[in-house]
Amino acid sequence: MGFSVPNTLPTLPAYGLPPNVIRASYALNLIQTDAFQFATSRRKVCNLFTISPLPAGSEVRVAEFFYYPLGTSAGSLEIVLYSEAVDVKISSLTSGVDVTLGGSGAADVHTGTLTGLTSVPQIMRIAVTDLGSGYIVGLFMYESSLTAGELP
Amino acid sequence: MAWSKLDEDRAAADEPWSAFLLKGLTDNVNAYAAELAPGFAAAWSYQHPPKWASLLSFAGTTVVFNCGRKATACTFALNFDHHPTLTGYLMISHPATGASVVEEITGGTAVVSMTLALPTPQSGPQEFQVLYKSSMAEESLGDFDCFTAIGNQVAVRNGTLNVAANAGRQFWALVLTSSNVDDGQPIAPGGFHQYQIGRVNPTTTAGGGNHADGYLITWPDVETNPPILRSTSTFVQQAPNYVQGDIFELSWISLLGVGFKVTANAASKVPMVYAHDLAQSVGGIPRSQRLFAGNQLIQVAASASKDEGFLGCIVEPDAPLLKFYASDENGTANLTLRFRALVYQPTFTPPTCTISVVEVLPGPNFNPLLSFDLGILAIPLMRPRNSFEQRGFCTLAINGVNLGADEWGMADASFGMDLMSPPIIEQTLRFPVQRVGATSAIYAIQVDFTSAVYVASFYLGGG
Repeated sequence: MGFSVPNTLPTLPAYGLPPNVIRASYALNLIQTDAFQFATSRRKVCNLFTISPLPAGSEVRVAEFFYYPLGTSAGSLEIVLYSEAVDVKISSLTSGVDVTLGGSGAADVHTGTLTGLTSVPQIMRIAVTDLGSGYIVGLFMYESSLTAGELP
Repeated sequence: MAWSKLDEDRAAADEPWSAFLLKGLTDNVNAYAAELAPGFAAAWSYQHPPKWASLLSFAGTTVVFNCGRKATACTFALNFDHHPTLTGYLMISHPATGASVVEEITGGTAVVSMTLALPTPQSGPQEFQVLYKSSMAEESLGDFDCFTAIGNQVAVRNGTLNVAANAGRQFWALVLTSSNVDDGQPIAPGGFHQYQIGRVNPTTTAGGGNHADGYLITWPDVETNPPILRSTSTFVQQAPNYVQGDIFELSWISLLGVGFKVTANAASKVPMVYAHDLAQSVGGIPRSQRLFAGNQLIQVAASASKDEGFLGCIVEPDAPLLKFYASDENGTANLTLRFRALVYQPTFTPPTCTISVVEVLPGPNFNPLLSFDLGILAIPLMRPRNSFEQRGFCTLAINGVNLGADEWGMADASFGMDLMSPPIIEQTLRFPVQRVGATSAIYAIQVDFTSAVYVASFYLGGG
């Protein structure tokens, strides 16, 4: 039997579970549901509030916090940034990795991924560089969903 | 018991499909609480770091984290700047169960990890307080002649400490010594004569006439019975009409972030979709969705702290509290918004509150999705005080909330009792979302009050 993670939560067929019988279609549905639940039940990690105006200077740290990865984490964080005229550097001081998002354009949504995180608690740091009257509406981080290959 | 793929590799040769399936699913679901243990972080911009001291009792802020299912212990990782030499004390408490843990923090410490055991298993969003208590230096910084006290303002002269050079927000303690001014008697043993100084205001007439050189803003009020200091506005420097006050440094903390993780769960039972709950599954809505709230362990915001640099925040009319929610799946967001708020000015009328959700489109343009009118909120006044606000060179300080654009109160923190006194106001927000990368993936949630309130506790996430 092939194994996959469905894109959406399977909807259980009605009346699929009489007391002592499990129909084959229902069984497959339950397995898919189980895989979906586990693979996509990732966590929102952090939401940073609006920062406006931005502090002057290069790579000024504006937030710092701990992030506990799940034991089953894939080691990456998805980042969504809504900002204008600012470079935002998100780094893990623990794992020594970083990613910079944003840029000099008009207000827009920027997405990126921070990879290479180890499974121990991470000290995360957010630093900003104002590129000219910039601002951050919000910064949002969440764990990546697992793929079929990453499931334990 | 770890989560596992259920495929033919795990099935015994002659094992009935149904038995294998049921056992496998049961094992998996029983492992969910541990395998998917919630862990979140509260972070705020610290261009102006929240920084406070507290002499008399623990003070701090509230963070709300989603414990998932039946958490029995959780670990908090705090990172902070601390006084370089003095000791302080950090407390994590869970007021709903009365559980708490205290850790002594030595000078210069920057990181601490504290584990809080919960006496009864807790599920869903829970409020935790992060509180700090200062210690006082043994060596005095200097002293003042304290003439009079009106509310929380003590008029002083003849300081051996250079007030002007150190004016403004301070983390000091005032210890009144010598005698009671009105009757000449010594301050009674055990009498209350230690006060936290939140701010020092020098005057422009230092050293001249009958004016005071400066004012110390203290917590609590220096008004006792019998009075230690005169409650009069006439400052007469005439011994023995003053009491000497020695000034001591307090330890302080500047909290940078709070990490949270559930580290122990009560054994779970086969729940939800696998429990053959036909009443639920017939409707096509597996009950397990409730656990993960839209298939993610959502926690959008854990605290009310904002970038102004203090803990909790004052929300004024037309001021949005939260502007950001992103989705990584198409579907329906089913969020719970919870908050506690206090009125901090006796003259303010009880506010009405409107909660709205908008979609942020490129431009940016805002497309209204939802709006809830919560009506008039019966929220309490912050801890009553006898003193009144004064403008100009004096600051009214209410439990650490700054009341002006550029003036600070006692500290950036609130006392635990105040944090927990208002009722929790809760509203479910259900709206369609599109995944990140589509034309719209950003949503703004605005909490609008008709008059200013202090929001002490804030949670946005799965219920």
